[in-house]
Amino acid sequence: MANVDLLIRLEDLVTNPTPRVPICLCLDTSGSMEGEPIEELNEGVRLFYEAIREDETAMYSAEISIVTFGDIPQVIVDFANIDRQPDVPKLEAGGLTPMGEAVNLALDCLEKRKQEYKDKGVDYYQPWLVLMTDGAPNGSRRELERAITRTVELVESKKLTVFPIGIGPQADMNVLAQFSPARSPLRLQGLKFREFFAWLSQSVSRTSQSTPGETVELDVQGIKGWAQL
Amino acid sequence: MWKSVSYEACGRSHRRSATPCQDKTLTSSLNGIEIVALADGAGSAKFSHVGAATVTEAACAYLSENFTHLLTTADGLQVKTKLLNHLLAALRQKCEELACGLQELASTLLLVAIGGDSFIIVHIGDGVIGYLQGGQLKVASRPTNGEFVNTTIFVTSADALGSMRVLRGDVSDIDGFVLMSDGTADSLYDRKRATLAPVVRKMMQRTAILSPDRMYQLLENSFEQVIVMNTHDDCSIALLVNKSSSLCYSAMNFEQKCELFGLRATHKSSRRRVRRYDEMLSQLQSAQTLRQISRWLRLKERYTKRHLERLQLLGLVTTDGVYYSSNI
Repeated sequence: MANVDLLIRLEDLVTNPTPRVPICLCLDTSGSMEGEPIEELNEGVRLFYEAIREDETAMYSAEISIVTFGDIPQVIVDFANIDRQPDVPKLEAGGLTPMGEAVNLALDCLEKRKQEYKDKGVDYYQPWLVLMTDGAPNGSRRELERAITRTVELVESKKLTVFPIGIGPQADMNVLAQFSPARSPLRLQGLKFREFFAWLSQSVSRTSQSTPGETVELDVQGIKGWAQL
Repeated sequence: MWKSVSYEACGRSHRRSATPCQDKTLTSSLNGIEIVALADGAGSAKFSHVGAATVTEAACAYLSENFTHLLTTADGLQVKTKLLNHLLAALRQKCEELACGLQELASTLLLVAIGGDSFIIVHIGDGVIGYLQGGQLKVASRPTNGEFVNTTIFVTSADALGSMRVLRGDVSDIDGFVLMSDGTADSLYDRKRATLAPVVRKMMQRTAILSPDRMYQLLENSFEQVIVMNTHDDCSIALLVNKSSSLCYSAMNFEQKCELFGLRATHKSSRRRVRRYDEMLSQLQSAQTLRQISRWLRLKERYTKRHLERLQLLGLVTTDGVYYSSNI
């Protein structure tokens, strides 16, 4: 006889797409990142991919895109979950620091991805923008101002979470602060990318499990050991 | 004529953090008004489980007392305002008891009330309200989410009145209603197509024919083993069905009955067994002893008893001393 105690079986369930957490890493790959910094950044990104892949929920919900700014800002990885982008990109240093152009490109990518979610009926969480630099922007002043205005508007209307991260003593923390009206930028102690990306993957995991009305408290205390607030 | 059942399960996330289940359900039958209500407490609100319970209780009490008045009030905004004010008054009283702010009691609200030939549906926030009409599962009220999946409107939100839905209508051609929280909707509501999983009809049918205890047990098994495992969120459901409708036992076809009894429809003895169960259930509309049934079936008492025990296990037959009966 069949099991009459199980009214609903797995095959009776509808298949809804997993709600997505779009994350754009906007990374400085200018000439000053040459050597150990770019190597450590590559290792940090690799560990980030690994940590997301190992998390049952984040693996399907996190969608990563990477915009780099060295010679010219470019999207080196477009939004997709870890399953569809198994190879971790190799970042190479060189060129100037056109931060404003890169952030505008990152925001364009996020807007485009959100529209794709809407068109396909996929639910999503508030997007994240991680902005990392070791210097000061030297691209177009107008583009920088436009990027700051766009980012601040999105953050203030609760449509974007931004993490501005300074790498090393030369990072222009004042410019980074202008991107983040709610949260002060962090300066990494040394080149502790690995710790930052481990923290980021845990935060993605917590967000991807959050429910309506739940404020995801980011573990700022946990950052203090490897970054300065 | 109307039967209800509800179930709420603590989600995996809350089990891990030892947080109370924030989904609350309530069924009520007062003044001839049958009500099912469900509320899903806000994730981070400290006392949202209390808020959810308070809102379901206050909403059921208000609808039981004021159903006819609400039904005949032409001004929909007035209906919404009165109901919301009543809910907020109950929550404010709870705030005083707990010395907490109103937002700490935030929850959604889903409710269906039936009186005579009419129904009233109330919905604030996410979750889904569905119904069965003419054999078709339909959605009466979809989830209200913000742009992001982890945002919605709560009873305590500033825009609760604006996003609140109140529907009224004739219940005569409706066989059942279902309320589900967003955790359950992950498994039983197709977000893109805005349709309910076909198994919801089966759940309504079982609610119509099984004893409440048996139906609760079935929901418990299915939720703990299947629904809860498909999400991190709390999961709850409430069903309100017309047991004299197309959901009744006599309207079931052979395959549906086989599934109910746990028989394989293709097995050659299944038709004979279903026929026997049909006869027994029909005969047991009036209470009978084992000997009476055995004689009527012309079957030895020990075999008759085995069949009766099976029907009893399925929640189709109950006993009172030496008497067996069925009211399906």
